Amino acid sequence: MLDTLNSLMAGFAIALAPANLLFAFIGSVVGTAVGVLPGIGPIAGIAILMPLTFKLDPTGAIIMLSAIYYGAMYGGTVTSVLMNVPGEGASAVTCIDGYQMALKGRGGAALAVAAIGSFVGGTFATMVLVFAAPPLAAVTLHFGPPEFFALMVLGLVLIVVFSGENLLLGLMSALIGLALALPGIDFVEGTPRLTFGIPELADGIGFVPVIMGLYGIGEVLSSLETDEEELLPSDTIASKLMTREEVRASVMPIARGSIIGVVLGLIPGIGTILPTIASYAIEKGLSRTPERFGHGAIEGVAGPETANNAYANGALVPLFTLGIPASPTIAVLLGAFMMNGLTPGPFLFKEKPDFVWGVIASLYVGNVILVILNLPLVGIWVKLLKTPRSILFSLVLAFTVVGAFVTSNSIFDIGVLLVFGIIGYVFSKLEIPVSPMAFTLILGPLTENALRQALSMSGGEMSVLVRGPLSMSLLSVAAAVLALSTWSALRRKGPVLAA
Amino acid sequence: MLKTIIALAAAMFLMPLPTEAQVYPSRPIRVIVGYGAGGSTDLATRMVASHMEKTLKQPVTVENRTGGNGAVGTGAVFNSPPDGYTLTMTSGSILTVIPWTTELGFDPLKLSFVGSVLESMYAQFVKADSPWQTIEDLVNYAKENPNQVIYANSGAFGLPDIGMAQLAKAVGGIRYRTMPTTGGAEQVLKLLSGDAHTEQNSATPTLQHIKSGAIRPVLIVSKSWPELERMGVPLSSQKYGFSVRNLSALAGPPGLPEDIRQKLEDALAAAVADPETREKLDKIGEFIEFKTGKEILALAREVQAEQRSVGEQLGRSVKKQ
Repeated sequence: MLDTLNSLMAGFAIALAPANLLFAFIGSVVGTAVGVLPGIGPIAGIAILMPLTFKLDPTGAIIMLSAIYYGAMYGGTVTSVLMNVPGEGASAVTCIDGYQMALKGRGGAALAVAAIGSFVGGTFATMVLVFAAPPLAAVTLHFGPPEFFALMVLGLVLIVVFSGENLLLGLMSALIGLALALPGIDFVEGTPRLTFGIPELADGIGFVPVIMGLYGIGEVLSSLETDEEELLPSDTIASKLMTREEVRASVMPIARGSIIGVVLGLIPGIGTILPTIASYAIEKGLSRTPERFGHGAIEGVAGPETANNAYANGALVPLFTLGIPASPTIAVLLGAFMMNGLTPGPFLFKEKPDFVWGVIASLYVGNVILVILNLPLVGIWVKLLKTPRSILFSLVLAFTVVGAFVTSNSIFDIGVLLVFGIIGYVFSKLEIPVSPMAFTLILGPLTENALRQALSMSGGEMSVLVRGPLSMSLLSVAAAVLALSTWSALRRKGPVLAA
Repeated sequence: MLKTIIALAAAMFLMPLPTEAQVYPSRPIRVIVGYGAGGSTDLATRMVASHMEKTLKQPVTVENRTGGNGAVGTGAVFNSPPDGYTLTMTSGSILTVIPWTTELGFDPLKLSFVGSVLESMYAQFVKADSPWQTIEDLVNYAKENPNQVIYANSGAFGLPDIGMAQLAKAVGGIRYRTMPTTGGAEQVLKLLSGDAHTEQNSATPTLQHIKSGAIRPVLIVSKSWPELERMGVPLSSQKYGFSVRNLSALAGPPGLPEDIRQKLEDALAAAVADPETREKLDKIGEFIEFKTGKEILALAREVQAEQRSVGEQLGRSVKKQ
């Protein structure tokens, strides 16, 4: 243990060299700038900016890349909160309450809590990586296809139950999302499925244009019918830092988000959506005033933003212990490792301890720089809201169209963006929540693949899905959550099933 | 403030668009890898891409688009404009096997081939704490317990399936189950977690686990694999009379203009010739050898023809299910 601490300290000594701090600073600024442009999420951002780092030594390069990553992630949060435009899946959850907070003049608090939560989540995940990585690797190996499937089922249930106010409408939206996840090339047999001969559909319906359409364009369309004055946030925006109540309300969500993120980071291939939605669902479930969620509850921003960052760092555990890149971002990082002739895995700790600890320390430094940089910037970001809505929304329209195009360089995705913009508008008129659709679109393929893997293991025997205590308890929790919320909805005798 | 924003917005739309007259490449190039990160195709691509960047003076980014054993990524590139800004690193499965096993909707050999940097070494693995010490142990168990052995492939039906089907044929028929994964890295994961019993895989994702003693190679399926031969692992070509070739090729959409293709081929050749890149490539543990676009296309045709009968049989078994 003492060795570990010593190594970590040595790592920090490297990461805190003035030149490296400068790289971290540049990375955070550039990353945030990229992240603010819709459609360019952290992964694309890192990939685009990677060449910037080639001239640097390995540690400097990784520091800068991690800073770019954190910056881009935070940039996505900024647009989600201020303009309802998520740049990637994880920030879609932030839109739900973050944008409502902005409309109520608490955009600054939302951005502040996101930065602080990310920092705490990242710190916790780094500590876990340092002190508990090897035993936790076992968790990774206990998650076979049946367990993964059970977890996904739980995720889908949470989405339906918690992201809207009406159970049936949420279910409807979720099922539409699942149906939209169907087109694409079959995972098992490699044959095109429901692509109707449209080549762009071979890759499935891209979720970046979908979420930008549902949230961003949908909001632009809704705003057309409102008086501009009405939409302007009140003056409380000036008190940009958080109030005492807001701080109190955020403490536990941040703590829980940290744990959720790290645990889910151990499971390869889970993606950023599940940690954020799980955190959101738990916060809403535990809240004494769940009705505030969806109308600007700070817990709904604090928890998911924390979970997202804790997840990103937690995913390093399988990388360093098993050599398995557990998330797309980690995959890019893996690329950076390989560029330096290093193969991540159990041997890296033994063979190149300086490098590994340098990287861990650098990731952490990137995290710290981001908070230092962004808390003062919050005031400037929220000033954006003072821009007349007509201009702001025109820019949103322009940026989302460009964003949809650059992710795949296809006109088709601009069409997807616009169609889902209209769907988002119509849904908001009908009071159908859009989030379940967006989230199931992302989780659908993951669920399907896990199910088909599980069934191919068992030769079609369904019993494999409850093969052990882990998958059984996950499925039981899912069933319990569904039963409880249905019951409480029925008991309330609302007009329809109101959750 | 307002004026500034309008001016900025106007400036954005007035920015000159790249035109054909500009010298290629004038903007970043994307290379789509149809497999998960961390496998041999992915890593080799990342390595050559970082050198090609220097030659081409434009960023070369690598993107993973998994699914259908390379069919998703390759299909996406096949349908992209042939402007040299979207390329793909394909591998043996999609080039030489999948055309036989499924209705792909496109002919991967119609891609514009830029060149090749590696051919994978290939072997069959079991988990180290499994009861099977040798390939005979595994084969005998599989024969006594039909449909019990779970074999992790790399999604859809591809090279790993060809190798396993060849083995099954050579020993007089084995019935086993297949578990689809997103590629080499996930195949290893499924073996380590005990969800699959055996897999055939290339060197990159397996080397460190062979070294750590977590997985055991029981049969070399490619023509050779010097490191494993030294460990005394038998060769399938000697034992069972078959071997599997897993090619890899950088390619663009059909109809890529020859001058662009040649430029890319030269950049690829330069990457392999660069000592530093070469050293990194050697570390991933596959056979590193540069082949021109023409050479790799001819080879792919040959291997695809060889794998026809086994491939079609696999395809029929899929349709029966």
